[in-house]
This record gives sequence, structure tokens and C-alpha cells, in this order.
Amino acid sequence: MSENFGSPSQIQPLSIGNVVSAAVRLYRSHLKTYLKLALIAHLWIIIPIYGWAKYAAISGLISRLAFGELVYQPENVQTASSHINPRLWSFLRVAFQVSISLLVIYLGLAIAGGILGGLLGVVLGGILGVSAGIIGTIIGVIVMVVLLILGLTWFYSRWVVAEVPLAVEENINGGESVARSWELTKASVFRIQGIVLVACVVTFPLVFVFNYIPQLFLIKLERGSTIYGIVYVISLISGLVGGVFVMPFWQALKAVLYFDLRSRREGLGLQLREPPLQDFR
Amino acid sequence: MRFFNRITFQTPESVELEFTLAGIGNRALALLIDYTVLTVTLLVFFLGWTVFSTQLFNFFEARNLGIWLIAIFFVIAFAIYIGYFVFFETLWFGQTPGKRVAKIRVVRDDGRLIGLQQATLRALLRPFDETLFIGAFLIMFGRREKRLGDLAAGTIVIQTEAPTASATLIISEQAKVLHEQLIQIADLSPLMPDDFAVIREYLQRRAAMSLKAKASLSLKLAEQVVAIINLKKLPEAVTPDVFLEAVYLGYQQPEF
Repeated sequence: MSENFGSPSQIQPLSIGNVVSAAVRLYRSHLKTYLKLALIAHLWIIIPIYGWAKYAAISGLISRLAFGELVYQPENVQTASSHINPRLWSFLRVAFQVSISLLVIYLGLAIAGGILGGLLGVVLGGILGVSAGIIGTIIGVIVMVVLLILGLTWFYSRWVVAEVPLAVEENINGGESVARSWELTKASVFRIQGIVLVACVVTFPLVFVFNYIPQLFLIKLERGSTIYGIVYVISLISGLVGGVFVMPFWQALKAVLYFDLRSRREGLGLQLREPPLQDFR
Repeated sequence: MRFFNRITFQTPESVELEFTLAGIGNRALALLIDYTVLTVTLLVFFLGWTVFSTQLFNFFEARNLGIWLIAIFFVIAFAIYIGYFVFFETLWFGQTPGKRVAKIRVVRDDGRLIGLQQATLRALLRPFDETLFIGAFLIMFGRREKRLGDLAAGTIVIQTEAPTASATLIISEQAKVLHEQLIQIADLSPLMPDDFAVIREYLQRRAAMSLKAKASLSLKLAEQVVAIINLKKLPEAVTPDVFLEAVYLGYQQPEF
């Protein structure tokens, strides 16, 4: 049997880097469509509640379009919207459920990490003498931060594709969609953390240009002055523009991730060809 | 998968080789790992140099010593930064620790292995690629994913071949018995190598699958096999999993 030399075969799961690369290529090949949708989504943000629901739904729409490409069933925006639009409020619900859960976990971890870090600082300070108190405190802070990052990304990884099932599957509601993300990511948390990290590195150039550079100007300026206000507004707009560019990438990434998780967990795409009779089309 | 850039070479012997380019994700992952290793190395060097410098100051009280020590520090630090990539890419034929983990490799444009010259050029141009993320944008938008260093050195970065693991397959005793019966009653020859590849893929990955998905997938695959080899129905009293194992055995011992 002949396999392509030097290339992963199509039915095999994707590596960390390949998930990110595939997302970049998906985004690149549908740049105009995705950017237009992302722009519309970011304009909706201004309107509370309904606008946010629109934002969440359009994010899901981009994921659905990307997923369609992956399973060789591409859709146009209209067809995909007809699936997404009736579920508008479910998308908002998923977004709320995930972000509130993450917020609660963040607070919990911060408190737990603070107590643990503080105790560690005190104990180390006690053992090593008062002069080592500073080192103890530093170690305590480091422990707290590490605990916070690891814990938060662990939970984030479990909910990373929370809205994708809702966007892709039939007959599923918001709660089931979140639960499905939880189930699919069970054995892959470490990998997903890696994927999110690499994705952050890849998007860093864009985020740096649109989000960090305008904020650097703010540091030098006096708070409350007119010029500060102007630069602040500019940095806000620039941040939104950055969001328009980055958001489709994340949604494409989630679609690839969902595809890959299903292929690992459920063998999506594993099937034999049609019986011989129908093979001679 | 069609979402990766592919590239074909013609060797002088007219053999066609096809490779998949590394892609931005793998290269970012490799960079992340390499820079972590480098940062730790440089940090250790910095600490060592500080201790060394203070010792030196205790001996001599020369005025300009401090400036010299700082200058030498930067020269050596730069040498470590460049040397890291040159050393590994030369020694490991186009791989660094990060690239090993990401399963990618630097090769020349014609597919040959790189040498000291290419590794050095790539490493020396790395700082330029880093400025304003020129390299990242070039990799993302270029057809052959070449950053400045690759353009200068005439290299590309490709994915190394995935080893086809077959040793990890567990075939039950029950399946071996069934296989003996199966070759009596059915003809496995209509199954193509691609079909066996799918079955093998399933057997290798089933352990990581959820129970429910596994049950329905194995049944689906078994029914597809039954249809292809013109069996009336699935053998009774056997799970689809065992049936698939038995069919797979037919591929390992071809009778034709």
C-alpha cells in the first residue's frame, strides 16, 4: 500500500501546530467573507444584550462556515445564517454560561491561590528568617500566579468549543452544547492548552499592532486631559479593529479543534468507501 | 489535508518526492520551545557572568573593567543565541529541540539536507525576521512559507514523516478464531489497501474514543465491510470490534 512519503495521511488526527496552521489557512482562503462578518459582529457590540447576542451568533456563524469547509460540505453565508439565526439567544446563553463560570473559577482560584501563596510566604519566611521574607513572598506570588493560569486555562480548555456544536449540529440546545464541549475535551486538555498558547503566539503580531501600541501612548499622557481622551478613543477603536481581524481566526480555530476532537473521540471521517457497485460512477 | 501547503521535488534520479510544508502553527510551536530553552540558558549564563564579574572586581580595581565585562557579556550572549540554532540545525540535520517536538525540519529548496552554511545564514537573519514580525507575516502569506533567513539560505521547512505505528494493535484471540472461519466463507480480496488503512486507523484509535461513539462507529464500519465483501450479514455472536480485527488480520496475511 502506498502512502504519501513525508506527509500525514488525511484520516489521522492533527498535531498541535497543524490545528493552528489549518485555522490560519482556512481564514486566509475566506478572508473577505469572515472579515465582513467579524466587522458586522463588532458593530453590534455597541448595543447591549441584543447586540451581544448578535455578536455571539455571528461568531458561531463563522465557526459553522469553517466547519463546513472541513467536512467538505461548504455552505454560503445565507444558508448558514438560516441555521444560526433561530438560535440567537442560545448563543448568548452559551457565552454567558461560559464567561460567568470562568469568572467564578477565576475568583475561587485567586482566593485559594492567595491563601496558599501567603501561607507559603509566611512559612518560608519563618524557616529562613525575616530577611528571607521577601523571597518567600515572591515565591508565594509566583505559586499563586502559576496556579491561577494553569487552573483557568484548564477550565477554558474544557469549554473552548462550547458554541461550536450549537452552530454545527442539529437538535441541540445551549446547555447541551456546553456539555458536549466538556465531554469532547476530556482527554485533550494539555493539547488544547498548547494549541491556545501557540494560537496566541501566532496572533501576537496583530494584537501587538492594534491593541498594545495604542496603549503604550496612553502611559505617557496625563489622565483626564483632552489629548488623553482623544488617544483613549483612538486606542479603543484600534482595539476593536484588532478584534475584527483576530476574531475570525479564533472561530476558525475552534472549528478545526471541534473537527479534530470529534475525529479523535468519535472517529469522525473514518469510513470505508461505498460498496464496489456504486464505485464506478 | 488540503489545508496545508504541499511541495513536490524531482530528484536527479527522477524520483518524485512530496512534502508538506511546516505551516505557521508548527513553526510557532518550535520557536516557543526553542526560545524557552534559550531564555533559561541565557539566564543561567547571566547569573554565572554576574558572579564571575564580582569576583573579578575583587581582584582588580581597573576603571574600565566594568564596560569591558558588559561588552563581552553581550558578545557571548549573541553567540549563544546564534550558536544555538547553528549548532542544532547542523548537528541534527535541520532540527532544533523545538523543531523535533513540532516534528518539522529545515531542508534545502531541492530537498537535500542543510549544512553549516545554510544554518548560519538562517540564524544570522533571525533578528531581522523578528523585527516587526516580518518573518511571521512572510510565513503566513508566502506560498512557500519562507522567512528572510529561508530566502537567503535557500531553504524550506517541512513536516517530517509520521511513523506508521502498527505494533500497538491488540488483536483478541476471538478475532484470530473468527479470521480462520472468515476466510472459509468470504473473499476478502475486494477490500482495498485504503479500506484496511481505515480499519487499522479505527483499531489504533478506538481506545481514545467515547464508548457510545465507538459502538456506533464500529457497527458502521463492520456493515460497510460486510457490504464490500458481499457477506450476507455480520457473523453472529461476535461484536463488530472483533469482526473488524478479524478482517484486519486478513490484510496482515495476504493469501494472494
